[in-house]
Amino acid sequence: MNIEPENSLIADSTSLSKPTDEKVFEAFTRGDIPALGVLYDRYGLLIYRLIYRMLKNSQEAEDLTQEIFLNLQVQSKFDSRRGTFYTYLMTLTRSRTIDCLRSKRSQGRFWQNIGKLKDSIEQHKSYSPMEVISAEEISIQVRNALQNLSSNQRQILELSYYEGLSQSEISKRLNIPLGTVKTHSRRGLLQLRRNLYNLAIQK
Amino acid sequence: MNNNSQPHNLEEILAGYVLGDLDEEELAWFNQQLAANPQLRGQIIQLESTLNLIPYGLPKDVSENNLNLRSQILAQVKPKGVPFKFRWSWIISGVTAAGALLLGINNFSLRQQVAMTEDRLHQQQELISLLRQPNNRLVALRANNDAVATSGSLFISPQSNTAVLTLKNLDSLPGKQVYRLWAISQDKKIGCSNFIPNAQGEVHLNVSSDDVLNASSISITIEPEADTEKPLGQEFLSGSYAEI
Repeated sequence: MNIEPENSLIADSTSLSKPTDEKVFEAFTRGDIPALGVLYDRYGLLIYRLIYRMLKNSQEAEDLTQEIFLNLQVQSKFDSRRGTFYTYLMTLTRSRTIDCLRSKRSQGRFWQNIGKLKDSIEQHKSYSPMEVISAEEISIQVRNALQNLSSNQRQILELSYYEGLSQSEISKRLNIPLGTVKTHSRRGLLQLRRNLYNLAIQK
Repeated sequence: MNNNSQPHNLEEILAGYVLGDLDEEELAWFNQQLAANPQLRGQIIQLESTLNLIPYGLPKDVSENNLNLRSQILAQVKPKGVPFKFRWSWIISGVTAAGALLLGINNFSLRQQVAMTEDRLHQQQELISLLRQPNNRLVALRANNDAVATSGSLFISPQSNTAVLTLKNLDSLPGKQVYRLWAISQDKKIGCSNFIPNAQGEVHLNVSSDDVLNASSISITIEPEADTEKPLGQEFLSGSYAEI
């Protein structure tokens, strides 16, 4: 693929066959600045909402969203052979936001998962459904899928995902046994996979 | 699918791996399964992908206020590797881009610092109101070995349902090791919190666990990893609650 800056991918973004995230990102790394705008249009609000949900502060969410996008140019470790751009971007965002949460919270929280999160940025390959289905449709499906979980499953998955709490910390907070927390979160994730199979399916 | 000849449900173990909650024994079993069947990686990938769809379920009420963000980001970014006709324009653009980027990052860290300072102030105000309450108790923590220089105390405020653990002269720990706080009640030890000291070897930990508030004593151990259910490491600091 050889895209010159003047042939911005923005022109393609409304067509039926949208360029993949990976191709857009590649164009950006070659100097196509509007390509970053395409990525922002696809995921900017999602990233902002994720950070806002985690930090609960709109100014910090704006600043960190900017930082995430600007750092794509400075220190991107994305390698398309290892996974999709979407999973890379979301994992990077969550990892960076958990770092911020950690520095904001008082001593004593031990973020067991951070190492794993960071490793997964580099190791795991995943599949992005974003080229075939609109963000709105994905939102509806994900919301329905979350609603179809038991309230315990949903609450525990969200505490783990958005607040970076370990299963043991969740067990303390909700006052339910550790084994039950693990069962709920694991079965909840498996249930989500069944409900969102078309989105998370391997191509 | 569950297989009766297997000690674990493979699907649940894969989900546990993606969620980062496998215990040591489960992790060893998982690694065996993965070595025997590398295609399991595909399932892990799917589960990772599923997990990262969760933010799509977030409410859309925070949407329009950051329309400006798009232009701010694009204004701060400059292309790499695009040939320029004039060397000077290249240099000026580079310096400007780097400057803008640095300012952006600097601005973010300044905001972080302000937020952290506000957090600290807020914590101190909370601490002062805690100290003013009646029925507060202070438990001195003593090392079980004279060679240990660590000392500290647990401040309990039953009225606020809060306890604050402060320690100093703690050594930093290698690898996955953590310090762990245990509440002891009727000879039962309940793990309450993992922690590590800051660069100065100090700990300032808020504990709101009922186990700590209702315990008869507490102890601190060094554990080989976080969230151990029973103390595996040796107890090196302990303190009994004074009778009232």
